[in-house]
Amino acid sequence: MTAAIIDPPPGGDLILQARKVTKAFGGLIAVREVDLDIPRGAIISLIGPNGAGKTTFFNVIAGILDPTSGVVELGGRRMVARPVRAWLEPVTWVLPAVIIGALGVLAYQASPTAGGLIVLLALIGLIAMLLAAIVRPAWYRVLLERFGVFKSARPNEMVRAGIGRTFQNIRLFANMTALENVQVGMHLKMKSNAADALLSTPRARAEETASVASALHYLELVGLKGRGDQAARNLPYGDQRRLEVARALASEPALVLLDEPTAGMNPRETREMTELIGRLRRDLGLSFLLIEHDMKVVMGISDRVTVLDHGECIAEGTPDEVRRNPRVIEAYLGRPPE
Amino acid sequence: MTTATSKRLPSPWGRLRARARDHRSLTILAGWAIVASVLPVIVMIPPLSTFQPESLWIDGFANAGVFILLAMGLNVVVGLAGLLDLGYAAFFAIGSYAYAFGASPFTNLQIPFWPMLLVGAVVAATLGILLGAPTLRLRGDYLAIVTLGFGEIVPAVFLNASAFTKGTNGIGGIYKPELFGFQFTLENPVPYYVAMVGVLAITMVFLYRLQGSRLGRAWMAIREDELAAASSGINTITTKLLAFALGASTAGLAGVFATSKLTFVGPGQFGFQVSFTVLAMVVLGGMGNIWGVATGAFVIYTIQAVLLKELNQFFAVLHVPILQSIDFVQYQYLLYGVALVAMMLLRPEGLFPSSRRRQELHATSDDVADVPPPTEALGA
Ligand SMILES: Nc1ncnc2c1ncn2[C@@H]1O[C@H](COP(=O)(O)OP(=O)(O)OP(=O)(O)O)[C@@H](O)[C@H]1O
Ligand SMILES: [Mg+2]
Repeated sequence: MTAAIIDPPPGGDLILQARKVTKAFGGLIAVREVDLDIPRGAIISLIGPNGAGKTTFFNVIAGILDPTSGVVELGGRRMVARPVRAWLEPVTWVLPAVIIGALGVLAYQASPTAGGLIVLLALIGLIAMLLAAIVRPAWYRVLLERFGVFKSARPNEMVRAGIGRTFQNIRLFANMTALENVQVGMHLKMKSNAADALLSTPRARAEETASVASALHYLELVGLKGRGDQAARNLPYGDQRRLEVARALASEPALVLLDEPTAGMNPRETREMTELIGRLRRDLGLSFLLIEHDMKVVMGISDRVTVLDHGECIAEGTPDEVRRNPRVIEAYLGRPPE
Repeated sequence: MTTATSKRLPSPWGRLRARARDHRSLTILAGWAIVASVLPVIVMIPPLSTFQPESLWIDGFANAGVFILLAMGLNVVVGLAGLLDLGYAAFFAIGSYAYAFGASPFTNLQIPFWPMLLVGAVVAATLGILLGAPTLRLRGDYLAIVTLGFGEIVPAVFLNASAFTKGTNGIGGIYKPELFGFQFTLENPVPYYVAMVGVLAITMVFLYRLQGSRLGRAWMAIREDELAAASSGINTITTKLLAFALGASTAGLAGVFATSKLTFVGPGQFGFQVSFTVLAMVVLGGMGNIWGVATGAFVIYTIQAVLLKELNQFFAVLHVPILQSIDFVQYQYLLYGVALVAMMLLRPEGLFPSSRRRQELHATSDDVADVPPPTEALGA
């Protein structure tokens, strides 16, 4: 399988754009000014020796870690960056309520009813803020931007924006069945709320039935047909990896982040996983960002490869270019003796 | 795979179970109807009937219902969502005072009992959200400490805001429920018993529905792995808040009911012992399994309210000198402690565990997935 080389058109259809992303843990700079573009429908690989900062970079993109500096944009929208004036957020909540509440307490001396009503108003303001944050996160975000507050998107917001991911050290819902794991992946695709559930509305029941069918479909897609009733913790290791992929796909992402999807798999399983990734790109037009140690996989399916070493991007290009790059060879094999 | 395609005819018992699965809500209602009609008969049979007259038994069962409600509510928070709440009695207090404010001579209001059930639930849920919002970002141990604090603060507020709550004296003379012109009385516990069974059955139907829904799965996902849940699109903060709010609303219901029966409310009723007792009921009953938790609460309450008292009389009659001088009721928390320790050693999943937890806690090393071999190869 030779990779089709996709040159990102200038300013064209980039699904994700990371600019000068830096992440420091105390003194250790795990990722240093890394740029990465992911064109729609591309398979991009991120490689590098152990501890190079690949997983850290992933976690920044997925909204789990706030970067020390740099920006991640999705479809031109700034999603992740260093938080700005985050301390203002609790103030916008509490300060109005405290001020109004204090007024109420003062007014209480003059007229208990008026005072009580004003204190109630303060409480209602607090609840309204809470409701805004819960029910209309978009409004809430705009409100915060008025105060010059910027917060990175949380992981669940990145999923909503179309990013699904798997973890290097498998993180399944161990005591739930394989089927339920995939159903959790569909969380954002399902619409029924607590009231639907309480009243067991036809909509909720229909959605539940549909979600089972759909989850079975994803299980079959990754090769876990017939395993739906098993607890995730009882699945063999390779199946757990596949189940993570199924769960990530269930959110119907446009971009899938896979952190070492073939780690611990035998050659046949590795080939199946590679084929699955290629098929998903071809059939569904999904984009992939892949961390991978198995060079056969990387060279086989990547459109472009980015190489990290000690947090820095030391090479970027097509698989062939990267393979021949002397800095890459040095990073992996060590400097040849003089 | 969800519908087993076995060739042979299922046994009648198997068919019944399949039916029950398909009509879960009806099954729950029928289950409660059966339990509620059998219990009064059982207590008329000798060993139990000698302990106390039937009306006292029925009265005790109605009181037990309050704790069953509390345990089922706490089970949502602790058992499903995995949030350790050590101050659950705070919401019980809020529901209780809500009813006292809504239906007592103290405030001159007389809102009927049935709408007050809803009001109590909503008020408790609202305060649950307000208390939960700043704290649910905390994890594990920290959350436990903060909820412990809330559990202490709420009764302290009711104690100290004496202008509104009559402080230590508490609010008395609270109105009793009425249904279609039929007035509940202290002398006759049967109406309370029936009403309680109704409330319990409906609450349980709701809780089972929630557990099997998208929301219930999200709670379990958070319990299993919060980061993975967030990375699957679950808004962990609002989902945890909902667990807190729904747990609190159940406690609110329990508070309204208990207060309407006791006709008195004071800040002393909501100490840490209440939170602790309910938590012990959830753990002993089997976290995560609604019927199990309900049964656990019932058994523990009955032992505590009836059997310990009986034990005193029993030994008094036998004239055993040492045992005679022990007041077993005083040792109830010691007994809880011993029971909990024994349980954690022998049967950590509780008396009636959900199948999930049984698996989890009895995993042998064979069940654990193999650790992958290291694969580091630059096989270009
Ligand atoms: N939460 C953290 N706190 C402190 N240091 C961290 C943290 N996470 C990662 N690091 C450090 O950052 C560096 C990069 O780690 P990272 O996990 O991103 O590497 P990686 O490229 O994914 O390696 P591997 O191939 O082994 O998975 C390592 O030195 C690691 O010890
Ligand atoms: Mg890694």
